[in-house]
Amino acid sequence: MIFNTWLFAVFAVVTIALYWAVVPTGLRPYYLVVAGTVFYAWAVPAYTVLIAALALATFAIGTALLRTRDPGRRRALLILGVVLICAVLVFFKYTRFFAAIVNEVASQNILPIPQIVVPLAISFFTFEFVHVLVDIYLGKIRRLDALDFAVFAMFFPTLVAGPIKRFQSFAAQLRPIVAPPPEEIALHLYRITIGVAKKTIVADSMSLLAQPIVTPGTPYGHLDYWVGTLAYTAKIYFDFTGYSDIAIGTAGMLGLSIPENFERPYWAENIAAFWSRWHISLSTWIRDYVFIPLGGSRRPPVVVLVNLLIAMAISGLWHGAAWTFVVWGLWHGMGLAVHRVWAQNVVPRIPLLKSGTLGIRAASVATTFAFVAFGWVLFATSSLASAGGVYAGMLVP
Amino acid sequence: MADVLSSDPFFRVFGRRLAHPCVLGFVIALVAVLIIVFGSSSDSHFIYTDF
Amino acid sequence: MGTLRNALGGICVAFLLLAVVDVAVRLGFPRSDRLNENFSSTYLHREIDALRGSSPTVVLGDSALWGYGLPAQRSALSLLRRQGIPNENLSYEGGSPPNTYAMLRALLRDGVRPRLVVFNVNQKEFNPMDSAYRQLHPSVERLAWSALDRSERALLKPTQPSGSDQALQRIVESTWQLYGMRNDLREWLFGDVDAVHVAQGAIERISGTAGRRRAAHRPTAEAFEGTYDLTPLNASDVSFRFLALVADLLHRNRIPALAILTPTNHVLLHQYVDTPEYAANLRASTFLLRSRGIEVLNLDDAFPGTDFIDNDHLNAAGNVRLAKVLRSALQ
Repeated sequence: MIFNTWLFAVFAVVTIALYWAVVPTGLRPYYLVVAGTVFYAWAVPAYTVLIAALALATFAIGTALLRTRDPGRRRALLILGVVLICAVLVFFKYTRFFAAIVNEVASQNILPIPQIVVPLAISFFTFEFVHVLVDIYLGKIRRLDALDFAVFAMFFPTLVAGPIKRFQSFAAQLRPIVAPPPEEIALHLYRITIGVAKKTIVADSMSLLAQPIVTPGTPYGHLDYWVGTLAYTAKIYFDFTGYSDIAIGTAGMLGLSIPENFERPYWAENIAAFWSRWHISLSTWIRDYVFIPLGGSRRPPVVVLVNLLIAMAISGLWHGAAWTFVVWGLWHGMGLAVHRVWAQNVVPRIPLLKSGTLGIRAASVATTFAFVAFGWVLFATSSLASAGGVYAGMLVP
Repeated sequence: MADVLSSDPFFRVFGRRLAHPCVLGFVIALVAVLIIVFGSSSDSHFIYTDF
Repeated sequence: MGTLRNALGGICVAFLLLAVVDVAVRLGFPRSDRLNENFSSTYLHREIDALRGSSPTVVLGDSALWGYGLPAQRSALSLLRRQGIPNENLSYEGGSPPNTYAMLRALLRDGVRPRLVVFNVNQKEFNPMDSAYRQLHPSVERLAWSALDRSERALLKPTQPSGSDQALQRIVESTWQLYGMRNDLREWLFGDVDAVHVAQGAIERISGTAGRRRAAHRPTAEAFEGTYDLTPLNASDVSFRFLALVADLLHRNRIPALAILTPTNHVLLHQYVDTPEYAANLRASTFLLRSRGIEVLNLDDAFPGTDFIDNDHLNAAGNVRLAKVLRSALQ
């Protein structure tokens, strides 16, 4: 079930109305699990078994982690859990990609390209499950109630495309689920309405103007490519923030708060600030479960820069099983690395850059925006060759 | 939860009058009409549902 | 419960306001010279409703009679109307004999009895590769499907996707007039089904893409290879069967009709249409129609190549000439 359909509208209205009018407070978590299961199963019933099985396995391993004191056994359980979850993600999402790479390297079809249907939202729920296991291991989650975890795993407003929740803050709201005051309900309804408007009015309209970069090849001119890039930059922002608004608003209507995902990212003054404002739930996940385990900022400077590249390449690959996404991730990793060197070594030495004048800040915002917009071409196109064609169309006279 | 309201710029500017069902209904109807007039039929799926 | 009451209160107020807007649209939405390019079944239903109780001259054609490539007021039927020959142009892009038949059934079912039906017969629509060979326009299908017999439906390939969301969508479109007519509303306001197409058109004109695209798509004879199926027409051709059904229905209901053999660009399509097979198929169509008492106006090779945009769509001058010819025929 996708958010901008009448089916979802009917489902949400009926679910929320029954939730407050009929379902006793104590039974609301169970109701949410059932609603989430119905929601997910409506799309592809078979894959509901997959998410349920993986959730069950995560819960079992998480419970074992909580009961075990032996450091070696705990480490083994964590590795087992993370490898299992990642293996499922890799199998469904990346098998075709890796098979294609092998065949390309060998210059012949050694491996058949399997026709695997990627389960809906697999990139999101696998990341939530990894987060739970790692945080249990680190002692940040000290209690894993089965019902709380089931609601967390099957919460329908975030099931399709996030925001990627954190178990601790989510579970804390479940006992009991308190009805929000009427003003807050109004806020959530506004949010949902604005979210739908963002998607159908702005994002979908921008799709048309972005056609030159999404399907290049017809006789487009410079202006078309530049307008297309700007349109895609707007499209992806309004598409994803619109979705997040609907998700957060719907969760709010159910009396539950979920993380914000965007904080006016195109106004960021540097690329590091951009990533603290764009898809916040994913970037904080990458920080906590990829960058920091690699050593974070506490390693030697060159290692930190390499870690940034690795973390962003993984972030890129998470978005899609294609080289364009990897290169897009590396583009941002390179930007973060350059910014780090710039902020630590150049800015302190140039008073003008430290001054924070309106002109400097405006230039910073414009540069960051241009950097991000340029990168979106890789996101939009279906191949590196197509992306190259777009860049050539933009830059070559 | 009250922090959500006081920190939201929409509510700070227009006040809690916005929470009145009539105002709420009017805004929803207005946005619905705007969606019908200016919405696009070109592309209905959400990008991030591909990930 | 206060929470729920507030939310439901707001939604009820929204429903009420939208209902008021809906009534205004039902009463005040203007009728245009012809169907919109992306007309909805709601709009079509409205058009047919407006004809109830009258005996108009109804035109049931394809894009050639719709006035493809030209603004509404420059199409032949609009010119005729301004010259004092009233007509209701229910032609549209994607018209074909199955579509003509479905529209006729819908009109008769809804109590519209035309005093004259004008329709065109386009030889390309007897080609199984043509998109309208056995498919109805989605809006026509939605409106007219129930008017067809089971055996007639079995001949066609439904375009409407099935599924719970599509079913809900259809329910909403049939009850909420404004939503059902959103494409018509946008075409009325912006001249296009998407407001942003206006901006897109401007950008492409400035960048030169529009001109380059026009030049790249200039019609050539090779582009129309395979468009006209030259196998002899008979009852195994679904579109030809529907042409017979059109003729039978008109004959049975004693509705006078004029069938136009569509003007075709013989200069461009010489290698395909200046053949004995094509001529034989034209004769077969003519014989079928005349045997049911339908007058046939053969305009197949009546227009010079300079009157065409492409294979079968007339330009402005062509439409002026067509209006003149139709005026003589209808008077």
